[in-house]
Amino acid sequence: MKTNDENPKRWREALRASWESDAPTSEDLSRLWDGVETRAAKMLASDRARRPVPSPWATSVHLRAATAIFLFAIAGVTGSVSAAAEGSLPGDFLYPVKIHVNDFAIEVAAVTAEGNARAKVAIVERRNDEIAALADEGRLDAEVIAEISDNIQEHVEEIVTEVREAGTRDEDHYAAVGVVSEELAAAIDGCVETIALVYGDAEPEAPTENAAEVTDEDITVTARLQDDPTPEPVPAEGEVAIMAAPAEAVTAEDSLIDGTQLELRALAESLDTFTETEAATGGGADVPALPNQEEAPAPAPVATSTETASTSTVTVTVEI
Amino acid sequence: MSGELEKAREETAAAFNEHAAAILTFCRRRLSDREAAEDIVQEAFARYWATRSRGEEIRQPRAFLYTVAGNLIKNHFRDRKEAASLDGMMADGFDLRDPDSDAAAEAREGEMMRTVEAQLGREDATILALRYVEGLELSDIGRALGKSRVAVSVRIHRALKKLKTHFRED
Repeated sequence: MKTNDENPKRWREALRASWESDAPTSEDLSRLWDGVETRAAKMLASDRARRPVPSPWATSVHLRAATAIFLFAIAGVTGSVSAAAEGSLPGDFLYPVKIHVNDFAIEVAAVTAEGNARAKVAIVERRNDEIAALADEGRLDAEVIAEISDNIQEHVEEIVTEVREAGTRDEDHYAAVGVVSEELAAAIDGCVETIALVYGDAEPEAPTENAAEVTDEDITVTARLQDDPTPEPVPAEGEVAIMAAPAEAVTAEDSLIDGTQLELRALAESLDTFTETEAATGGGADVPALPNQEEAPAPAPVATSTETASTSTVTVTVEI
Repeated sequence: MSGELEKAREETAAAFNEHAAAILTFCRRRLSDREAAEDIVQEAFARYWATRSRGEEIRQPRAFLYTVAGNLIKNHFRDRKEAASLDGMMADGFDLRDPDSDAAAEAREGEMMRTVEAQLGREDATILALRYVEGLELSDIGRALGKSRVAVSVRIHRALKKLKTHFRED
């Protein structure tokens, strides 16, 4: 083509022609518009679903949320971790926080001896809740039960020692004794019942009657292995050996659970008698402690240990 | 439908009437796949509609539409890993000419079209068309093609020179 020079706009025409050669027809466009309407309807629907209230306050709500988050962060990581731990269960990552931090907070809040005893009741009830929650989730097993039982026994040991060694025998002291012997014992029984709901009652030879008969002044519940080397002398007359589970009849798991149940039950029953023993020992307000307690090398240690499946023998030792 | 939504619809329809043909051409030029091109145009206008119905302002409808379409094209290439090569499209039987056009005009313009495309390559031809046929701003072309304003300016300058030289010398 040699005519292009004649028209300085020639390239523009060529460009336009080239461009418009691909121009859509009006049918193309109306079909296209239908598609736009369909798509937009979908888009708007999902928009509405995503943010149901597109309000002019949206920004300030976001600001407030951000501020709240910031303040929460400042309020303390400890607090939030502890709050997060509150719902945790044995085996969970945060469970140690719950039993060491949150439980401690419950105890610290108590001022009087009675308050301390009630704190222990509350803690044992928390353990009971955990057993129930674990059972719901199908995570309750012998190991967890033993862990919870250990925790309960530690707390019982603490409160029994504390109440017994209290220097004064005042109203608060007796109120504490009452709480321990009734409410705490009931709370522990509650745990045993919850376990029994899942695994059935423990099948001891004849543990409860024997244990109930052993009502002596001092209460030390020692659950230990038979071959466990015990530092303190064990008086033979007060010893009741309970065969928790015949090894040939049940699985190791079952026997472990039975053993733990029996442990806890014996613990609760020993607490039942706490009132009497404390009344007896503390009858004279001036008498600080029984002679045999002073003779003992250590003030009535409450050693607890998880039963192993090998012997599964719970020994409830009552010292005189 | 509330007044606000109806308003968004009317605005979208107006923008569609004004720009849809050019946007579709642009998409067709960038994509060998005609369905994909239409798909992208629909998506761009639907987004326009949704944006307006959210109460967000669109100051330059055309720039918005080209930008959205350009981004969607980029995504399309990324997803399909499809190279927009003219040779490939020709091999696929893609015809640059409008089959409905007048036969004589087609003979005359077809030559020019092929000349423009052959001289400049598809992308530069598109850039020049956007600039001189559609009258888009350099920055809008840049947004539509994913290039900087300066890059577009340089390419337009070179392409224009080439085109003018060709039409003078041919």
